[in-house]
Amino acid sequence: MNTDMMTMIWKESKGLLKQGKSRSKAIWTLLTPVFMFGIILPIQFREEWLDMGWSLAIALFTPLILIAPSICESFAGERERHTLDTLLASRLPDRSILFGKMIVPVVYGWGMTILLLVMSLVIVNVFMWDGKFQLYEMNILLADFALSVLFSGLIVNLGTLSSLRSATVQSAQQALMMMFVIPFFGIQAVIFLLPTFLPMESIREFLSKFNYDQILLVFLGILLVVNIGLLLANMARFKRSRLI
Amino acid sequence: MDNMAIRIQSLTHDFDRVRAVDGLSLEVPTGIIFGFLGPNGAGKTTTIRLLLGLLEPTSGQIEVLGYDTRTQADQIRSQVGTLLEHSGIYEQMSAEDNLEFFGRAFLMPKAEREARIKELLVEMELWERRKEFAGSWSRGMKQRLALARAILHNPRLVLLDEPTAGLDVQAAVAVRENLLTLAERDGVTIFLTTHNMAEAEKICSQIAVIRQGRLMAFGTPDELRAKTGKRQVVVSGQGFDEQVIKVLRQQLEVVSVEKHNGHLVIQMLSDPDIPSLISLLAGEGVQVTEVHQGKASLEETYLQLMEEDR
Repeated sequence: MNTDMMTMIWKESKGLLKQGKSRSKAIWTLLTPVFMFGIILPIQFREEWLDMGWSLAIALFTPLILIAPSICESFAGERERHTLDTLLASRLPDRSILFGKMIVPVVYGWGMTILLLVMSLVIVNVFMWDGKFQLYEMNILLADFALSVLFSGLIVNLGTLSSLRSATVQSAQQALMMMFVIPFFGIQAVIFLLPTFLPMESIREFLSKFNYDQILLVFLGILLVVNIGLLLANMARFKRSRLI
Repeated sequence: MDNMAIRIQSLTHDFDRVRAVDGLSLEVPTGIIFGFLGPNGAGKTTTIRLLLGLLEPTSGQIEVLGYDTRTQADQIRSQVGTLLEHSGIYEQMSAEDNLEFFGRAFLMPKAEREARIKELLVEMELWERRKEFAGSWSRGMKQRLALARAILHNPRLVLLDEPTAGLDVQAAVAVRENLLTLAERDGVTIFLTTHNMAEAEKICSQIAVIRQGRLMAFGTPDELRAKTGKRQVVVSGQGFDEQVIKVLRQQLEVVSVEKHNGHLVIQMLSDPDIPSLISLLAGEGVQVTEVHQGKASLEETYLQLMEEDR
């Protein structure tokens, strides 16, 4: 990692818990997944938490809760606070500014997910102590790691894409929300219409040939491809002359 | 060695259907304070963005410190300091961290960076409050911090977009003094836009006036004032009645006569013949106690230029 990118990472990490106006709001946002995924859900699910894949909820929702509210600040926030011109007038290269702004929230979302996985593991062991320390099933642990980094990347990519050209943080947040809502309703519509147009029995038969791990692997593969596509889109969209 | 910090040749820039800069040609010598004047929407900020390579010209050429803005914008940005339309200060970071970030961005070694940050914060009288969030500061303090940031990496050229706008008199004087020191002591070229004519008159060695993206006048403040061709005479005394004013207005060289705070302010086309003027006034019964002769102010010159362009 080059010096310029480290400089951007230094700056972004300084502002990580100071996004927007309120630091207390940022701290409450941080504490919500800690209580929910680190304490309450592991106590509720106990040993199922470690072998039934409930912990995947951490990998999905922790990045969503922690990153989504602040990622729209990345460029739209700088634009709104009139600091973007000065940043772009500095000698920092395009790629360093873009990647520096993206790496910090990905690492933050992923790091917090790992921390919560460890925390929930300790909680389950405390409440279910039977003389030996229990661990996650290996396939679940790997899925947690991969899903959290890919889902953090997805949110950061989408947030950056909406933030790059939005005039305000609010409009970037609205655009990001639409990016999540439209595919969700699209999938709902497809599921609703499928029985009418498609041979559902054949599809079920086809899917039954795969186990849980294989389906998850395909899902992770799709997420990876989407992430790469979005990253390329962000790189193409980052043009100094179009950002001011 | 090239002694021009900036060369602009036939520069044009369009925003969709709006022409923001229209055939602008300009040269700025190194080591001077250059004033870039014009009304709102004249194209000043756009020109600064073009100089930084943040916008691409529609046509024309720009060289900054010998680099082409189209192909060598990175080199330009690494050697230029900027204070743009807004201060660009990160309000949720401390003053020290603001400078630390830009010091790192300009690849200053740690020891040099720390020494320079201290030097500038002390010079700008901000050292005692370096740990505070800049967001809690007054506009004047933020502007001084932004100026410190602009010159942190010892740039050869500093581009300033209305650096004293919105500042109180003391803060504006402090910023102006800093700029003069930079140019005179350190030989830095300063390119600044301002609406403040008195400021431009005080600190700028050369001035360009633009309107609707076109260059209207260019030269030293003295040359610009001389271009209007007007000379001003202020006469103090007693007996300035309507008849005296009427007689003066009939003189060929007189452009206008106004009574202002008990004085007569006479605008003339060329250098006045003071003895003849006094004789004329005495002949009309005026008791002249004092006569001041001078050129029109830069503000008057500027207003005349704007008026002529309508």
